[in-house]
Amino acid sequence: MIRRIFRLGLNEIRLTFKDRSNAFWMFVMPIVFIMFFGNVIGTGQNDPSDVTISLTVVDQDVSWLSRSLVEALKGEDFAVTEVDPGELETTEGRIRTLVIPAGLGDMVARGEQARVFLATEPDANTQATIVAELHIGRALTRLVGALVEMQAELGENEALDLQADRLAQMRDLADREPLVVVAASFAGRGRPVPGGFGQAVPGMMTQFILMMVMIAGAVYLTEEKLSGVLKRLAVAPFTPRTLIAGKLTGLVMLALVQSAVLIATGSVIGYFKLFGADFYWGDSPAGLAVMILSFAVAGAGITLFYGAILSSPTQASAVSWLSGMVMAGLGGCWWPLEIVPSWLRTVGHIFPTAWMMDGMHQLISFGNGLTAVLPYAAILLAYGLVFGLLGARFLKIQA
Amino acid sequence: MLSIALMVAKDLRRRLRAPVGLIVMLIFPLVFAGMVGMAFGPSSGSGSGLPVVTILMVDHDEDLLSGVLQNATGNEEFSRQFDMVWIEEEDEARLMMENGEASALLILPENFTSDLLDGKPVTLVLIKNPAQSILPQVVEEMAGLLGVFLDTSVRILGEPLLAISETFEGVEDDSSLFPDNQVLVALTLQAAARIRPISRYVFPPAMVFDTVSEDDVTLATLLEASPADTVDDLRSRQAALAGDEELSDAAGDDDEFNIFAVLLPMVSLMSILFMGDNGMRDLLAEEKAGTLTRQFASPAGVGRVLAGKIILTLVICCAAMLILAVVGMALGWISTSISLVGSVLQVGAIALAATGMSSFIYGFARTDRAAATFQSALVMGMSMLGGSMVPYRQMPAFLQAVAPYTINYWGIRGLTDLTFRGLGAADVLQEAGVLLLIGALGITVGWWRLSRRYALGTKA
Repeated sequence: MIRRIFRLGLNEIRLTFKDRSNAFWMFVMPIVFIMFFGNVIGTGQNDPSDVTISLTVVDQDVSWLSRSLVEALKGEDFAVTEVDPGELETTEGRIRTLVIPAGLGDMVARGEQARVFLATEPDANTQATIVAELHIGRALTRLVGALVEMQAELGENEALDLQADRLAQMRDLADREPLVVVAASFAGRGRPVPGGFGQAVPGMMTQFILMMVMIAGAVYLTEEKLSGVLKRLAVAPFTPRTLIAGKLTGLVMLALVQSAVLIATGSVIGYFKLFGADFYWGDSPAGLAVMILSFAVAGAGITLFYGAILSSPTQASAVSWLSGMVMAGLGGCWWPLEIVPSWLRTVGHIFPTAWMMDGMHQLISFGNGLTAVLPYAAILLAYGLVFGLLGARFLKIQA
Repeated sequence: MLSIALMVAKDLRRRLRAPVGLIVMLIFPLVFAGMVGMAFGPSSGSGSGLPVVTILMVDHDEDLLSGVLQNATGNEEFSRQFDMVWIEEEDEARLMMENGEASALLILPENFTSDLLDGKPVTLVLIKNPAQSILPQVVEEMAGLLGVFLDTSVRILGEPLLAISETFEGVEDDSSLFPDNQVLVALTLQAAARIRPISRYVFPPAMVFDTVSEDDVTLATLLEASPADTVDDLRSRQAALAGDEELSDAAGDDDEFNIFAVLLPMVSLMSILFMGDNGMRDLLAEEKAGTLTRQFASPAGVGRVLAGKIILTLVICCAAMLILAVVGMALGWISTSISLVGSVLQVGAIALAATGMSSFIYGFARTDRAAATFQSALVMGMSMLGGSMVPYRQMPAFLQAVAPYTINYWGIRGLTDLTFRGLGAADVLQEAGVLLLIGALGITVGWWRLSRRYALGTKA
């Protein structure tokens, strides 16, 4: 019985790879996607705090106060490019521009509140803009603090002369050792953070395993239904249960083969650091194997269900493709789920992709082992069981 | 001409009998734009573009400054963006972090207040969630800002704060230690004496900043700004200069950034390029089925059959873009006041470019499967590099340099000029021109290859 199931499974794999385009989509495209998104999301860096945000500055005031602000901004990990107002429109790569209006120093000297403006391109990355705003806020706080300190030194009866050049004094204040230091580190022992390759590697692997198993599996199943191959198999010495088990085994094996090839290829590329690629799968091979196997079972179950309820290969391909994209997007394969609203995070966890990503982050980001991923693996197996049973219930294979 | 129209109509009817593939391609941009819009749109979180950030706090200090901090972070405005959870035991908080239950854990050390008031450096310990990327960074930046604020406050108000701390020491346990009115008045006067001279820089802060989108306020207006201006002042001045409110209206709803007007063109381009495959694939599929030979034997001839397939592809692409635009408008993602002439020009150019690409590929392909695989790979590649998957401006410089060699780049550029920036036909001439050129070249080469192949009769 087991032998027959295994043979049926092997036949599924043989059929899948008979079409060479499947091999292309299973092995080449995921790597291309990982390389692309690994470089684009977080510019390939794993830790976003390592990423320097570019800021174009137009200082129209050119007072000691505005120069102090520019210096304070430079101390805030900004890649500051100063340009003249006339060159602003033609400055290449300009995304965020800080405009310091003329008269800033005079206005502060008069004791009035002065305003600077951060202009962002409409399609600027929102998260990077928020970080830029925090940097600018800190630079301004530092500057106002320095003004306050200078005034406090003089006392109540003497006004601070802000028309005089106080740049050197400001620099002295900025150079002091800070009284409050923030010592930041990451929890766990893994490799933070899910930006760059840290996000792209598990994300794209999850997406392509699911999509390819669903598309190839559901298309072949509907083709076999339409062409009568399933009926013919049913009169062969196979029970319907053996047939279904064979189909499921084939789909699981397909996902495992794809994962193994992707992991091996990724490791080679990562070893040679091609295009800055950095493939890391965590330090627990057992945990990784359990997660991939469970996800393969979940994917196989869903595929059997699709194959059972959809009537044509075109339908199967289209539904698998679209639902695969939705599951990948909402499940956190394209971007970390932390940055979406909590209700969308909950919606994302309707899909197995979100649980797979959670498990992969346990392995990769937190550096945890097998025990930590068991709850996620159990949920994925439950998906496989439920959809597998539903698929078996609806699949008509009687002769 | 009539025979070509009849062939196109027949093929279209055939397509409509099995429309699943086309429908999915049409739904995809809407679903994708909807998903990304929900995740990153202005209404997706606290209103700042970020979801609410959960921060665990452990207070080993339990003194004046940590108390002030606890009160300050409890206010409504702060709570809208940050959910501060105060945990008594550090071990429990660390365990929660290991389980990924918060974005960060901030630990206020023992003697935090007293050390700081004594002028000794203190260290705030911040533990970040390794499975998150941006939120822990936001917390780290915020902790840094808090550090600067505390640093400055202590340097200026250290003396009165120390006096307050000493005066109230032990009051929590023994209420009889509560200072009498005279002491309180003295403390207040001491603090006031320190605050009065500096108040002109602090209440309100001497310098603040506002963030504006260049789509909302142009750079030209910003460069004319005075430090006394507010963003509303700049908008009014800009509207007065423009003479009407055309600019702001075109971008969508008042001042709100319309993410969908950016996303829909991005993803639509990818879908349209995939759809370009539909008409041309018929050629090789019918060749395999033997029906193409019969068509060539008819009075239509090779030329009309090829023209029919090319026009079919063009019609499918145009119809798809029209449907996407109508649905986009119905959903409020695209303004209904976009330039009609510009839209017709750009949509036609995109459809022609998609048809040209498909004609070119099928002109060289031997089998429909090989052509479909190559076309899919090419569309995916161009979509990555051309800005359909990630906005062009967010890509690294080396990828931005490649983008202009893709159809997606020119298509998205023109469409966003129309849908997002509210520009007109004259502003998309360059984009439409490039696309028309690509389309014309692709169709010419494809036509030449296919007509040569079928005229020679090697296949047909």
